[in-house]
Amino acid sequence: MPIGFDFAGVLFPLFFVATVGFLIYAAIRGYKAAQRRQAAIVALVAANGWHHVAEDPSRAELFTSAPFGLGDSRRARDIIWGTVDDRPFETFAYSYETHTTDSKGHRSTTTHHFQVTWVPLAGPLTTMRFTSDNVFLRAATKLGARDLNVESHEFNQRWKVWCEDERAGHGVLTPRMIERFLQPDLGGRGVVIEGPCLMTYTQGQSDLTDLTQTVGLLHEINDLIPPFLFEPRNDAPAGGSTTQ
Amino acid sequence: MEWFLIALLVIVVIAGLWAVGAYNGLVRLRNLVQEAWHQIDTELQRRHDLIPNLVETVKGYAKHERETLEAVTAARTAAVAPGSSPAEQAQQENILTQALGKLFALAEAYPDLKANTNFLQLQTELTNTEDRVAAGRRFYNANVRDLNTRVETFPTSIIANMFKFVKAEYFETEDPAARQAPNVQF
Repeated sequence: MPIGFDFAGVLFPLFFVATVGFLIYAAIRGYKAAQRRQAAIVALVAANGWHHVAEDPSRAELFTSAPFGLGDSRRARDIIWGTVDDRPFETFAYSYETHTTDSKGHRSTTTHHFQVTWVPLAGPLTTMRFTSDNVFLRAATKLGARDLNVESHEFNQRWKVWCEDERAGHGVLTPRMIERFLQPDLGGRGVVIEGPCLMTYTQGQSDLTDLTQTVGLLHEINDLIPPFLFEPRNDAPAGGSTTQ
Repeated sequence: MEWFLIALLVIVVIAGLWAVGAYNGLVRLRNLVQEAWHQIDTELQRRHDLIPNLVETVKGYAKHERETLEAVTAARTAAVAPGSSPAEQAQQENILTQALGKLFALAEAYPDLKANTNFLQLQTELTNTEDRVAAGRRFYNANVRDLNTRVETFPTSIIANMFKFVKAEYFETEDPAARQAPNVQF
C-alpha cells in the first residue's frame, strides 16, 4: 500500500487553529473598539460638562414604540445626559436580542443595536411614529395600519407616519415640519413622539461624533410643533363680550 | 350542477360582504369629513368672535384708519354669514386674513397700540386660532381626499353611485405656517 500525505490529519488541525485564532483576533478587536468608544465617551462628556452612567435598566423600558418593546435581553448602556444650547437631552445605546431556530433545531441569537436620543417637549402629545418607507411597513399598511398622508407627495413617499390621534397628527405636520422632514439629515432615522418626549433613533452602534447635530435636529423639530398643541383649550374670549 | 351552484353562492356571499365593507367605509369617511368640518367651523367661529374686540382696541389708538377697520369688519360679516360651502367659506376666510394682515401691519405705526396688553393678547389668540384652523383644514382635506378617491375609483364607485355618495369640497385657505419664509442656505 503506497504511503500518502494525510490531508485530513494536517488540514483539520490547521483549520481549527485558524478559526480559533480568528475568533481571538475578533474578540480582541471588539474589546479594543469598545475601549476606544468608552474613552471617546469619557472625553466627550468631560469636554461638554455632561453626565454619564454605564448602564440603567429603566431606560430600556422608557418608550413603548419600536425599537423598544421588541425581542428580549433589552439593555440601555452608556447613558449620557446634559444640555445643548441650554436645552436638556439624553442619549443611550439600546440593544435587544432576537432568536431563531433553523430546521435542524440550531438556535441562533441576533443582537440589534440602536443609538437613541431624546429631548423633553413642553407637554404630552399624541403618539406619532415616523419611519422611512420600506417593504415591511408597506405590508403593514396594507394590513390596516393607517398611514397619515399629507399634501406633499414627496413626504408621503419618503415617510410613513402612524398616529394615535390623526387630528392632532395633522396639527403637528405643518408645511414647515414637512419641509424639515424632507431634509437629508433625517435619512436613516426613525422619529417618535411619545408622551412628553421627542425621540430619534438610528440602527447600529454610534461613536457619538454627531451627537450635538442630532440634539440640534430634535430641538428644531420641537420648535416647529405649533404651541397650541401644548395648550389647554381656553374658550373664554379676551376682553369681555364678543357677540355682535 | 351542484358544484356550480355552490360556487355561485360563494361568489355572491363574497361580493355581498365586499359591498357591505365598501358601503361602511364610505359612511365612515363621510362622517369623518362632516366631523372635521364641524371642528373647523368651531375654530372659525372663535376667530370671528375675536375680531370685534380687536377692531375696538385698534380704534382706540388709530381711529383715522377707518378704511382698514371697515374692511376687516366687512370681511368678518361676510365670513360669518351662514350657508357657505367649504370652498366659499375658504374664499371668505382668505379675504378676512388679508384684511387682518393689513390691520396688523398698520399697528406697527402705533407703538402704544403695539404695547397694549389687550391687543397683544388678542393677537396671540388669533394666531393660535389660525394655527388650529390650519390643523383642522389639513385633517379635513386629508379625509376629503380619501373620500373622493373612494367615490371615484372602481369598484367602490359602484356602491357610491348606488347610495348617492358624492365628492366633498376641499377647504383651501392660506396656511399661516407656510407664510414664513423658508431658511435658504447657499
